[in-house]
Amino acid sequence: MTGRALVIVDHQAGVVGQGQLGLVAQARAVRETVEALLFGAPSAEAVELLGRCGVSTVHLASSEALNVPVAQPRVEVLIDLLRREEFDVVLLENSSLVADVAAAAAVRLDAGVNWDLAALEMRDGSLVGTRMAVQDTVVVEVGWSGLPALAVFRAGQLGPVPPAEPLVPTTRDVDVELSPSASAVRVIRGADSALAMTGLDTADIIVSGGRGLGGPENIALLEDLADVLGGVVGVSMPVVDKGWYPYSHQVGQTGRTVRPKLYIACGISGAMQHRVGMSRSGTIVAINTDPRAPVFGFCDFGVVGDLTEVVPRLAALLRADVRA
Amino acid sequence: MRIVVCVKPVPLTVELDRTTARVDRTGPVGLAAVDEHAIETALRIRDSSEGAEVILLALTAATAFDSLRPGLAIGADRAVVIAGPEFEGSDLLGTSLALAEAARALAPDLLVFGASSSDGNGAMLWAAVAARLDLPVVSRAISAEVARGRVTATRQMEFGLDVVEADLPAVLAISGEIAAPRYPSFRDVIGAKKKTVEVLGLGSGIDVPAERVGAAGSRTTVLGIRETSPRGTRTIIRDEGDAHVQLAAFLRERRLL
Ligand SMILES: Cc1cc2nc3c(=O)[nH]c(=O)nc-3n(C[C@H](O)[C@H](O)[C@H](O)COP(=O)(O)OP(=O)(O)OC[C@H]3O[C@@H](n4cnc5c(N)ncnc54)[C@H](O)[C@@H]3O)c2cc1C
Ligand SMILES: Cc1cc2nc3c(=O)[nH]c(=O)nc-3n(C[C@H](O)[C@H](O)[C@H](O)COP(=O)(O)OP(=O)(O)OC[C@H]3O[C@@H](n4cnc5c(N)ncnc54)[C@H](O)[C@@H]3O)c2cc1C
Repeated sequence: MTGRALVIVDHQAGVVGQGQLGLVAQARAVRETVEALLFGAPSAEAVELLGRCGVSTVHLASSEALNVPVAQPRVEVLIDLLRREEFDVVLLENSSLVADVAAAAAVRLDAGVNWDLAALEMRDGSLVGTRMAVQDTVVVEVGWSGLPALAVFRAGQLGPVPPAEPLVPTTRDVDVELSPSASAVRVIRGADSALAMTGLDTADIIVSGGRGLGGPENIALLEDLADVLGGVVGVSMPVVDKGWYPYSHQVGQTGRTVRPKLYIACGISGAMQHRVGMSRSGTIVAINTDPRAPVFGFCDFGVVGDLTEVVPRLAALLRADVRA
Repeated sequence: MRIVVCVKPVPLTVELDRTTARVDRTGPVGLAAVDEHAIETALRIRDSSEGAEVILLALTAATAFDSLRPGLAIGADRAVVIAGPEFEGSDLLGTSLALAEAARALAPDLLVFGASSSDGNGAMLWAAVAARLDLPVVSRAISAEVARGRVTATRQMEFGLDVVEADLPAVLAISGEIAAPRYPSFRDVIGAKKKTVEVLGLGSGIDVPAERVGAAGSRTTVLGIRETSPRGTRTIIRDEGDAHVQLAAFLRERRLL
């Protein structure tokens, strides 16, 4: 197990997402030395956190151009690092931004990229990635020819990091002269950052609603149940498309991938694009009027019934229990 | 202005062959809904500017040409198709190389992509093609407009909506079903049969070494496939007025309360 792995990390005010730390554990399973490329203002907190997970060197990339969520400057920094130093595996957690970074890097390096990964391992001296497919009923094993191997993990799949020998990482500043292309995409209005704080990624309990809600007025039923359970509200795509609830709460292929201990799907049919975002939940409960809804095929407990009746009754019952 | 829309004919039902882990492409194919929305996005941009044209571009099997007709029927001006056995088994590298070669020759002002397709699900192709052409890429757009030589788009990102712009030529990828395609009239459908579909192949329009496309050019491999154990036992009840009581009991039993 020689060779070095590079983990790509974008921190938010010193906080490194659970999934990005999870990459470190995946990297440790396949390479002796794990280093990180940290985008954003230098953060002692983030460096320490990475060290505790077993990262030995942190490359700090903190130029102004990296403060905006645009792929190109990140691509240039990554390519520069990979040309100067030898890494044979690069691990990334998928996001809108990361997908664009990984694709461009693959082209520029003529390197293979496997996406949608759940895990990495070594088998007979070769790197093997695994990915869930066909509604998570089969595991596909994938490999790479040529180096470096780019491994993009499905967002939200990687859990807490098992303890490692804590290290005090060496830090190195990455100073890259960016090309004019790096500033070709300009952010003219930044996102409302409050949206990012939905808590979906870390929630133990998610109460989700779909088109079966019938209208925005019934969101309150979900919020009430979430409130009693100490959970967070999630939604399917049509709910966002109709403008009933913000996109930042969308679960699924084009939203968040979540893995709470309990996921309650109300008025959600269980389409594949929704399922991939929540199928790793500990326990799945479905409430749906249609006994043939696909969601009943992969839940642990299903109620064939009207959510506008079952949800408020459950909330009331639990609230009464708490009081008693 | 010239707008090229990359579209992918996909199997109408996606089935993974359980022995080869490849998508079964023997059944009927059609344009993915997201690609129809990409075409509509391009048509709206075309209609708002003088003398613009929309060209569909697909790397696909020769048998799938007809699946592009609906795109021509709703208004795309013509299509360019890249076909040939040499391209079979292309991964991101080979696919992006072939599409970039064709796009380079077409020299579009705007190169439009759909959101991730139902089969490959990579959502990476636009950035790969953009990198090959050294063009700026604006992805995850829920709305886009072109004016004064630049594209401006609202992006749907995990952290919320933001607005970005880039000068043309540029690559634009939409985020999903953002522009419902118009309905073609009967005349449009008939007219679509007369629009040209140009076919390119390796050595005829796509002049890249054979070893850089198809399985030969791939840097990724599928090693195998195995079944996983489905979830344990399921309980399905019908609400007779007390489903909430049974559900609460189940949650308590699983120590989720
Ligand atoms: C490229 C792409 C990406 C996508 N990404 C996502 C994604 O990220 N997330 C996502 O969720 N979807 C996504 N989708 C859409 C997905 O395919 C489905 O259309 C969507 O998940 C369906 O949402 P739903 O279950 O809320 O609605 P529906 O499928 O319409 O289901 C509504 C359900 O509610 C039930 N119902 C009706 N009334 C009641 C009632 N009173 N009480 C209880 N049940 C009731 C109905 O029986 C039905 O089963 C994507 C699609 C594409 C093509
Ligand atoms: C199950 C599965 C898993 C795969 N995993 C990998 C992997 O890990 N790594 C890898 O390198 N390759 C992989 N491939 C192959 C890869 O999907 C194809 O090479 C694909 O064309 C690359 O784009 P994408 O998946 O990112 O595009 P998608 O996300 O599928 O499509 C995005 C958009 O690109 C355009 N587009 C896509 N394909 C074409 C086309 N043929 N012609 C014109 N326009 C097109 C459309 O506008 C579409 O809306 C996989 C394929 C399958 C079926």
